[in-house]
Amino acid sequence: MKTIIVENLSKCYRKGGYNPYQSLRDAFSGILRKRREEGIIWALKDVSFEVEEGEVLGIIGPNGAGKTTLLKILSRITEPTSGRAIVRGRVGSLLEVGVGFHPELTGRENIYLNGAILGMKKSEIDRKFDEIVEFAELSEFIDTPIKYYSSGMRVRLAFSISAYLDTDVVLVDEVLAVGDIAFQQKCGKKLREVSSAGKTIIMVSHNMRVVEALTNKCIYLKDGKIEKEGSPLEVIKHYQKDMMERGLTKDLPVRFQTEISQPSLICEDFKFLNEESVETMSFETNASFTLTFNIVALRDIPNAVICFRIYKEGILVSGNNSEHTIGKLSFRKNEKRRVKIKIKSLSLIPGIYTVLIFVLPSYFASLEDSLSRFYAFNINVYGSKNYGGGYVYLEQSWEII
Amino acid sequence: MSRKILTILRNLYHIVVKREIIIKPSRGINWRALKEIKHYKDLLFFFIWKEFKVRYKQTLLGVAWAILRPVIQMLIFTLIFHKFAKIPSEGIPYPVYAYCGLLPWQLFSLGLGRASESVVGNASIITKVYFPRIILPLSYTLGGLIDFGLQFFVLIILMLIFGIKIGLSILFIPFFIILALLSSLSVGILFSALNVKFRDIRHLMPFLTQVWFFATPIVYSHEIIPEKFRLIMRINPMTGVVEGFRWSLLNKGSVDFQAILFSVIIVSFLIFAGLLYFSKVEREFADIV
Repeated sequence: MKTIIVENLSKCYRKGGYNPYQSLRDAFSGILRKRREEGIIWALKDVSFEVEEGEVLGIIGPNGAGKTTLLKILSRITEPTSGRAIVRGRVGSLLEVGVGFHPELTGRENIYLNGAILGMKKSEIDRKFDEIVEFAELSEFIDTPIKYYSSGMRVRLAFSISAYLDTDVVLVDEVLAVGDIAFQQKCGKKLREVSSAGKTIIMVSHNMRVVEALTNKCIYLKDGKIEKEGSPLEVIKHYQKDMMERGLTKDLPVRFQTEISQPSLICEDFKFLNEESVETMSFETNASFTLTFNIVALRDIPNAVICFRIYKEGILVSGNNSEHTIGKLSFRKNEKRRVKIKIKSLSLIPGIYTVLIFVLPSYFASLEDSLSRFYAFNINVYGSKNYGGGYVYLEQSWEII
Repeated sequence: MSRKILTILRNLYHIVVKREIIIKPSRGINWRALKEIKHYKDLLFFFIWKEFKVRYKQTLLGVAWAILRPVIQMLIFTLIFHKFAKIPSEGIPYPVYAYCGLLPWQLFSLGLGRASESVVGNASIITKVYFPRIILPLSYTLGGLIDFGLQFFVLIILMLIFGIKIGLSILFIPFFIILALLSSLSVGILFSALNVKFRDIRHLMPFLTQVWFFATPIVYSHEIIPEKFRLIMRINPMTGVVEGFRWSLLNKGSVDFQAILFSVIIVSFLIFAGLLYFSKVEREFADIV
């Protein structure tokens, strides 16, 4: 059964900061309408999709694409300008944790307040109270005013209450991006529990690993419209490709974001594969990493140096090129070769990294002379344990003698 | 034919059992929100409780402030209006007269003041979660009943001190309390929405409240108002409320049916207008607050 049906949902805002509405004044001033048309931004335009019961839908897209607006409309926080949505079942919206928390009240009092704001009845809160406190690991401090809590404690309390919200539909907005790793894992586990309990979940996230791991359907929202809808991997790849084309991989130094006019080489059909040769954009620390892609030469190329680099937050973590690894390369016009780069053990600290591929005409050539465009991809590296800090994980063992 | 019935039954199932909601642009008064209030009863009580608790937490005198306010006002007015200016009070001992008038007024004015800030003050909540927004001005207005209850207790003591006897008119007390509450609610709902759109409302409030205070025969009796101004006073909905409350409790003084009638009509109109305007602005709350 379909729990959520969205039909041509649209939402616009007036640039001046006010939402257009029908008032007596507006009705009379038809003349001014034209001027007003120009100042309109469509946060969502004709968005339509459906979600089945028990499905986990991921919504990804750049900032400002309308993801949060969509969730707000489905949560009934704001009204659509046109179109409609049918939602079947109780809706729990987790757009932010700790909504309504008042610093003067104790943890206990805030559980009741926040729970009620989220839509729980008092009896429901009574029933779940002990579990909530335990999940948050705050039994000692539950009767202290939360203004004395650390930020971590507040987050744990807030998320804990949200975790016990028992609605048919759950709308989540990047809520999992809070807390430390241990807590995030706890939250991820709870989300999986909720999903397998048959609840319908819509999740907005910028974290591709989470989206890949937890969702069974994805929507890529861009400029208020659905750009792609499909399986998580398909949609994520499409999104990544878009981001790369728009030069929006922000973790690269600026010089890689310039356009190369008239490239002599095209790289295409990029595939990132993990240990089991499954395509993915998420890799585990120290696990196997393979990148394959095709190179098509548009003219005769006497010398080509394929460059492969990994960046994090603008810093070059590791870089290598074909001359070091396989020696000199040349291409005839229209020749197509497949490149395979395999890293046995990706010793990177968990985080988001940018993989950069480009081809230079010679070893010491400058970037402006690049034969190809700059191809950048964000990959996610995750770890099952704490690997410490920095960029690289060095396999090590410690002893106290 | 049977397929049509099945479709209707299936739709009904979705609406009733699965609580299906159709989200689309709305118009007019938000009746859906009013019907939903019963599902959010607990939240309403939590808001009332939170507001009351937070208001007096960390204050020195705590809840005593609720009682002190009208008592101090009564003392000041007794000194200036009664002792110095010798304002008449329809044959009732002035302190009781004034205090009795202050009670429904406080219920009204404080409810109005708090309700008008209710939406703007809770901006952080209404942009993150859904609940019928009308609960906000509703809870702040109803919360005033707690203060009112405490003040009423003091009023009983005052009445005992001055030996005021009650009569059958006391049966009308609930009516006037409800009328005071509804006046507060009607204006509160209207102003809570106005405050979202026009932020200068909060600067207007103290001024409005003060003028309204003196336009209502709370600390003076209508006896001092010349006949040609009486009509204006009657149109003031609070006149009917205050005088009616006073009459029903103290069983003395006049009951001006015309004023009460005006009250009821104007309050009813204001509730309707308030709900309409609130519903209209409610649609954009999350966008402009």
